[in-house]
Amino acid sequence: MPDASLARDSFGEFVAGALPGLLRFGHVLTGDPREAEDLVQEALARSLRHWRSVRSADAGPYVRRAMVNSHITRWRRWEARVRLGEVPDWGADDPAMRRGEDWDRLRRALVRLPVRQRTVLVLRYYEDLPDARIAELMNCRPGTVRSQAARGLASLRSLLEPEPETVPGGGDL
Amino acid sequence: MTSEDQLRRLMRDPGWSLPAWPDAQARVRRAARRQRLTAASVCAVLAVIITTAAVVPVALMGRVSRGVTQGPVRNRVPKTVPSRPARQTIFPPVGTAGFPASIYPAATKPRAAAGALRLCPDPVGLEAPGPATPAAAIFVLRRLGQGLSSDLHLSDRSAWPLLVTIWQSGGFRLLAPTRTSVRYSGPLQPNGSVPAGLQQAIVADCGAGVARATWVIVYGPPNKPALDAVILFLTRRGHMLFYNTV
Repeated sequence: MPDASLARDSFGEFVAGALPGLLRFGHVLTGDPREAEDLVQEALARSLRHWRSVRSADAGPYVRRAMVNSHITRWRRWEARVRLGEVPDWGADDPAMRRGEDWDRLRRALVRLPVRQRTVLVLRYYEDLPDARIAELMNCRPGTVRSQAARGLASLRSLLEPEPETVPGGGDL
Repeated sequence: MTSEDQLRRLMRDPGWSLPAWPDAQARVRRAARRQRLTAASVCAVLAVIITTAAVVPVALMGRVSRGVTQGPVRNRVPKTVPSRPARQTIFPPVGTAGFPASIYPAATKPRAAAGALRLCPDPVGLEAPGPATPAAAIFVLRRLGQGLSSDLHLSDRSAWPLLVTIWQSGGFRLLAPTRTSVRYSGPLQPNGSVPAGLQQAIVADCGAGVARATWVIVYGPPNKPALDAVILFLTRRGHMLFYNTV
């Protein structure tokens, strides 16, 4: 079966080369390392099942598209699930995993955005995709992308604004 | 942080990098196999449903027509066929889309051979109750009973067989919020509301870790303590899950 072994080899090469980028993309998209791994695994598995029809040049966008669709779908499906409290401090005790304060604030703020707004922002500012392409990926109109992006940015700004400092003993002037 | 450039820069921060998997290919192939299995299971269940839907009315019609042509007049009304729930429910395998293994790992067998529990939650990823637990437990309690599929998402795998049994016998009828009141909501510890011996039974069957992570809600119809129900919850990686009822 030379075709099957060729397909296996090309898929293996693709996974080896693309995995770090896909995991990063998944992490920005979900804000959670474990969900990112689940998402990448699921999208790669689905791509493997259709690998023969995926041209190697299109494999990256194909898997990313599968990740975006799967992410939006699973959030719809998981509405029933209840998430507790604050976003956990992943690896906060691990010096190798310690990140910058700005990065951590962004991560926490992104997780609080509705899934479609977050997806639009990630595709626009992380993947640098034009609005028309984002609309195509998300099955919506470019106008919807622009409005979601504007809302997402506004929410991010309000979430990232530093809290006003309280003046001890201060009251209304 | 206000500028779009800053957002772009922060999204490209190396902090988003995750370690690549050493066994990436094998892992993806296993996941693909699971996806194929799930798809096959769904097809099989659909086939059974379609076949049943096609065969039962035909059989019924046969009975009716035989009654009309051969039976005495008083036997013309066909007997009702009791609706039977499916005997075996196929659960989504571990790691299926929508049920990540980190939140829905496989259930474990109780340590005691003849223990009180049929299955135990996997202790990995369990978290001790925190300040958000009481509200989350009540929230899950209120959402349970809206449908088996939704209940699976709200529950640990160790509760899934129990959920099927509950749904086959008519669902969570006691859970109607208007007819119930919460008598106790707190950690698993002996007190007037939590049944005596429950803590020891869970420690013996599932281990001290599961017992420590357990949150108990005792509730029932007002003024009828004999009908109290005890619902056990746990938190795994930030997600509140139902896992048993007594």
